[in-house]
Amino acid sequence: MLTGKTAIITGANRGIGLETVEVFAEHKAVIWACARTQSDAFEDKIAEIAKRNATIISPVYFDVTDKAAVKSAVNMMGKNTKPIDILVNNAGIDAQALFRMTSLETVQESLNVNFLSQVYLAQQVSRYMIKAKRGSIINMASVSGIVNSQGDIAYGSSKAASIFSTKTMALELGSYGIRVNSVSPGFIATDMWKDRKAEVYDKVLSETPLGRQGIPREVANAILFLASDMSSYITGQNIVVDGGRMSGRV
Amino acid sequence: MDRRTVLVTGSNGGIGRTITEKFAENGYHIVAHSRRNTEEIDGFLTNLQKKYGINTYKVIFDVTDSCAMKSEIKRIRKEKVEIDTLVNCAGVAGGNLLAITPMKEIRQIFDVNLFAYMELAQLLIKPMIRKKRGSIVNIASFEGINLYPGNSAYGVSKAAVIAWTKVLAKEVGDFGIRVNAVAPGFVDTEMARHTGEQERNRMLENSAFKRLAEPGEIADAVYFLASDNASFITGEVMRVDGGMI
Repeated sequence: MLTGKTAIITGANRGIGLETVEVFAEHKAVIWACARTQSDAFEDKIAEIAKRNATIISPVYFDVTDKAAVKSAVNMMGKNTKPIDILVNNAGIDAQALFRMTSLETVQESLNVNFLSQVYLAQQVSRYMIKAKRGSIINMASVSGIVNSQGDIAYGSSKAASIFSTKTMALELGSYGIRVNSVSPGFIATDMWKDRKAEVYDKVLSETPLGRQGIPREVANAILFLASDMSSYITGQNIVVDGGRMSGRV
Repeated sequence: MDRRTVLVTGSNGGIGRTITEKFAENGYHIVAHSRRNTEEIDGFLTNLQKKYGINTYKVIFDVTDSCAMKSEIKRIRKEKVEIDTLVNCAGVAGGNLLAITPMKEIRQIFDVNLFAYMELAQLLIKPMIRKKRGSIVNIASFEGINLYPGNSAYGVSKAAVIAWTKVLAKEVGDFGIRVNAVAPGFVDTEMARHTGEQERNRMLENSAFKRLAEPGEIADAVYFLASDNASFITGEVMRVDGGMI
């Protein structure tokens, strides 16, 4: 579904990001796999995926909150592959703590990594997409940005900002043929859920109509849909991938 | 290949036809529903068989005729056809400002757009539950989310479809059955012409794309939600509306 397309994926070294690299490679995209720090294990992994799917995957290293590094990396990618068709703003961090015990620094960090970096990356990459008069930007959000739970002041707020800004970007970039959407995963089997307590697990499962945890591939498939031409009339949308847990309200 | 079978209601209409073709293209056997039996449908289905190598069946009933609906589904079942995917697409536009719309018309629109969806789902769900597998996609509308004057019937019936989609998703999730809805914006079909051109253009101006959808763009979203690529998505309403605010 992505033959001939080039995609930038941040946070590509693990979890949903890495699974998205895999799924995009299966659909023949050329991929810039971005991570914060260099790692041989990461480079071996993406080389293996690239070989298996007969496509090209190149590692790129930068901290998404370092504006100068982001600008320089995007210019490098934009000059080397024309056009850039897809941006998956996936890099993100978790931060679970009760409101009264959350330092402002933690809230700021969540906003920086999960929200502001998405805005800045989208600004930089969209310059290239505008030239090509087409593109698809997918911002990774979360169900935590839609429905409130305790402990979500930092993470949830940053994800809510991501969902909101996705719609603003969609409205403004629509006339250039660029689509902007978000995906909000729920309870997915990744590192991010490792440290949550057992009672939380049980509670979440009992509220999930499909009665199980999701796997990264199920989120990657939604990202693939939004990246591809199958979603050509979809913009400003937030696709929730959570087994129906948060679907209760109209 | 483990072929699935999809029933598409209103399979002869603007969006329904394109949805039907999309599923056939992806190897699904087709049960095509229409209110009236026509040569055109037979030609359409024969074409799909030839082009995609799938089986096709036809069910003919008015969706508000419970007896005819039950009887046609029973007949299909006797032919050993197992429907694991349902796309509720048959719908009608209509209605005006409340002050000048007869209640009879409002009730009729609800009968087609909401109650028929429910009744058909009710008929098809038991076998899905037994097989612990199934997928339902209900066609709603952006007018069920953005509520405009004149929409006591159409818009409100589509809003109800959305709410009911979420209820049903919660009821059958345990059995591995997913239920989702697609809310199209203005699609380049007959039904879009129900809204006056001036008003339509005004609404489109408030969107990111400022153009009508091709039916295929709606069909792609329906197919995605029905397919295994949406295996962890249920109770969702996907707006396919070119970025209407």
